[in-house]
Amino acid sequence: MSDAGSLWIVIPTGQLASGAWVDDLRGAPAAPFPRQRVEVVRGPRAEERIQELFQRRGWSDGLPVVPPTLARVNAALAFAPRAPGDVLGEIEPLKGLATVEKIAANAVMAGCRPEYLPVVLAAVACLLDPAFNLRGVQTTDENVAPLLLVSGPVALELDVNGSFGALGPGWQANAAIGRAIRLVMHNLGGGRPGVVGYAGLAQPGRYTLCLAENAEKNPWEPLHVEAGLAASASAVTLMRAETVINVTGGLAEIASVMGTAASGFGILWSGRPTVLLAPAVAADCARRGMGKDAVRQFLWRHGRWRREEWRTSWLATRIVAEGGWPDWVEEAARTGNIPAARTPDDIVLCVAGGDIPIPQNAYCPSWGFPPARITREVALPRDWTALLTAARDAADALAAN
Amino acid sequence: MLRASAVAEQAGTPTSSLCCEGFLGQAKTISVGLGYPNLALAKVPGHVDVQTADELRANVLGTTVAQVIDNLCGEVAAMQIATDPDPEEIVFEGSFEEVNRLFLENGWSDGLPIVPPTKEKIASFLAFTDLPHEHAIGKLPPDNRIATVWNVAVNGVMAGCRPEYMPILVALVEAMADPQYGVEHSGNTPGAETQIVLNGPIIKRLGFNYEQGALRDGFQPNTSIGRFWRLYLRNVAGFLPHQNDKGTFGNTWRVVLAENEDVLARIGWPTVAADMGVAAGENAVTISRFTGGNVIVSVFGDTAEKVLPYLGNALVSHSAWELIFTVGMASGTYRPLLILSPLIAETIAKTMTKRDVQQWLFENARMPASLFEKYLWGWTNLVPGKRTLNDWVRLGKLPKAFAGNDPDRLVPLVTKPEHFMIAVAGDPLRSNCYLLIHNGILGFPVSKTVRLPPGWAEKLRDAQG
Repeated sequence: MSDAGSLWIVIPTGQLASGAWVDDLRGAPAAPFPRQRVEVVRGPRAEERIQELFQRRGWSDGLPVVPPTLARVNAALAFAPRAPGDVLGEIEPLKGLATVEKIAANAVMAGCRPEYLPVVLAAVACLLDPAFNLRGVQTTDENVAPLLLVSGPVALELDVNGSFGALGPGWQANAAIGRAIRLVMHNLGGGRPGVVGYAGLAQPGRYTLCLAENAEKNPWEPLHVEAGLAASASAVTLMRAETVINVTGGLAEIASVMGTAASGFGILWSGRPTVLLAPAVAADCARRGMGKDAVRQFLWRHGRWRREEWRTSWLATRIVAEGGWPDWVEEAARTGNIPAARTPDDIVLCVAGGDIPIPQNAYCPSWGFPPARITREVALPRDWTALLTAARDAADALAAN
Repeated sequence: MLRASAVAEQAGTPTSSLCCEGFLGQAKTISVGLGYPNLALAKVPGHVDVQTADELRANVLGTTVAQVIDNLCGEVAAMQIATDPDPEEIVFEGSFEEVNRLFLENGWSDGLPIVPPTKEKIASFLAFTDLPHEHAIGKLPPDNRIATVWNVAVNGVMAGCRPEYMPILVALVEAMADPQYGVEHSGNTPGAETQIVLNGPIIKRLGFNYEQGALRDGFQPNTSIGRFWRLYLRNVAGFLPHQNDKGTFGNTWRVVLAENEDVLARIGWPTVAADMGVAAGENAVTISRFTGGNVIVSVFGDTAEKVLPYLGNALVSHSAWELIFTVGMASGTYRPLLILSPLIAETIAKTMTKRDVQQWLFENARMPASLFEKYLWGWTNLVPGKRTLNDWVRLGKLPKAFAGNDPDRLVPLVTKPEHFMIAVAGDPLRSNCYLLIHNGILGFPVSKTVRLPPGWAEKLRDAQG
């Protein structure tokens, strides 16, 4: 049997160092698949068959995927600064090996252009930082999702949106890079809902939660410079976000949302919440001479959960045992209300979104331990510029056809 | 190292194995093969050989120690080992090109096209053995797959063998599975390669080349059986480059060396197989691993005395770190192989037996003790303790020939004369020889006789048409 309509697929699901497959550790047997690197899916209608097979095997987030053909995966691998077999680490909790090739296959499936791979690899490196507590993120009953911020020149080169609608649909890089991270967690880490993941509701941010810092409208130093990298570098910064809460208004409004039960778990674990600051608010602060530190100070001082509400909260009365709160919380409660973070520096501040007069900010409370704000430089292949030009030319040619 | 950890775990003692960064992947796959897939590893960043004492100290204190503590005191993760598909399952149907592409992409091939192992072709190989196809020959680390007659046939088909080679293939895998050989070492960094030596009437019966170009490709039985060896190591034992074959360079598989038994009979020398204890006239394979070789060109001389210095000099100038197998790492396991072209063998045999040659080499192929000791522990860290050869003699690990305190004294390369292996093959009309330097216990010589199936002659006639 043989036909021209066959597709050669890189199997995107995880394999452990022991050789075991993640799929064989998830309890309920999945639809059968060959336990090997590459599979041939026969035509006719091979593309449709792949959609059906991948859904049945549990290798998707529910949306159709781009079949990870050898040609597509190899095109992405051309952008990797590392060898396909290199192992970045084990994706918790089922410990599938994050090889560059497996990551590329999942990036292709997510709809990434080949040139996104360096960003996806940096994001996976963040996921693998023990401080991210991926095991916890994957298995908790909370709704946490990775929040990925891209900063530096690569955000512009790849057209990662940090402006109007940065958290919404319509932008390939934001949609696909965030989705790639989710598919890596899903396929290599085994994080399937109800099997490994037990989030009560989860959140739409689990499909993708990825945006760029709005470099043009940011009056302060970029995120990656705060993390100690050169301004000319590109980086991804990863946080654990319980959700994304819209806040229309200025610093006072953001602080009022921070000082509520929304920050409960973040406070309990001394987490690092993220504030996406609207360009108009940032400009206003800068005009008034406020640096990032002053903004954080303000939010820390004013964004406080009222002590009475905290004391009678569900968390305090049902979950946390006597003496279970961190010392800094008890300390704060002795004199007043509870800040949304342990220190002002624990608040992650990023200017993002469109520049509109009725500013749309967002508050992303944190979940879990340990405190995490993880930055990794995006390592680019040596011939990045030439590769990027070639990829754009190829895309143009395809469209012109 | 991991084998020691596995034994300790078996005895109920928690272990933590220290592992240089570049070897973590190999360590994980090897621990699977040892039956302890979750052996705890502690990383030593980089490679210790090129670190200063300060760098090493910083690396160990900064990374390794914490992992050791965690490994010994922490919780052990549960692990499950992968299972292969049913060996008789048809895993793919497609064209020749598609089969080859799939096999390459999945790491089941060596980079050259393979013959698709169809059930029909496998059956034709199985017809050349009276062993049941599920017969277990042994268990092969690191993947710990069972070597069966079936998977011998499958890899034989793939390698381009003919069905009638099957008895030789079975004998080779029996040798591979013999603990004396040490197949588990096949992935070590020196990357040595096995040389198969074939003896017996089967050489002529199956058309092996044993004359000019004896180590060259171009002869189906020599070439395809050599390729089979490497494919089998890959597909059944599980040695894959970039995984647990860590050969720094490695080299291509070697074709089978068949001895020129006509010449041997004429000069009255025993074959390699006979030296290994196989009865004369039996068909047998002998396997051993060699780190490398060199040709000894234009050997001049009409007497043994004139010719032998060429051989002795070649042995001395090519034996280096491998001397840790003469003493140190695994004493008395260094077995270099000289291949004499018929002209040279006949010249020597005018006055000497093979035993005489071995004795001559033992007495004359010698190097200064100081250089020998440098190989043991001056230039490597492979033999700890910095014991001198004289110390080893006093410990009873070396014969008296190594004794003395003069660093300039000349000492032998092996512990017994018969450790020099000598074969005869190659161009009968050229006075060149060849030398293969041996890898000690990491591929120790093992011989197995080739058992022919009942009705061999008829089957062979049918197969050869």
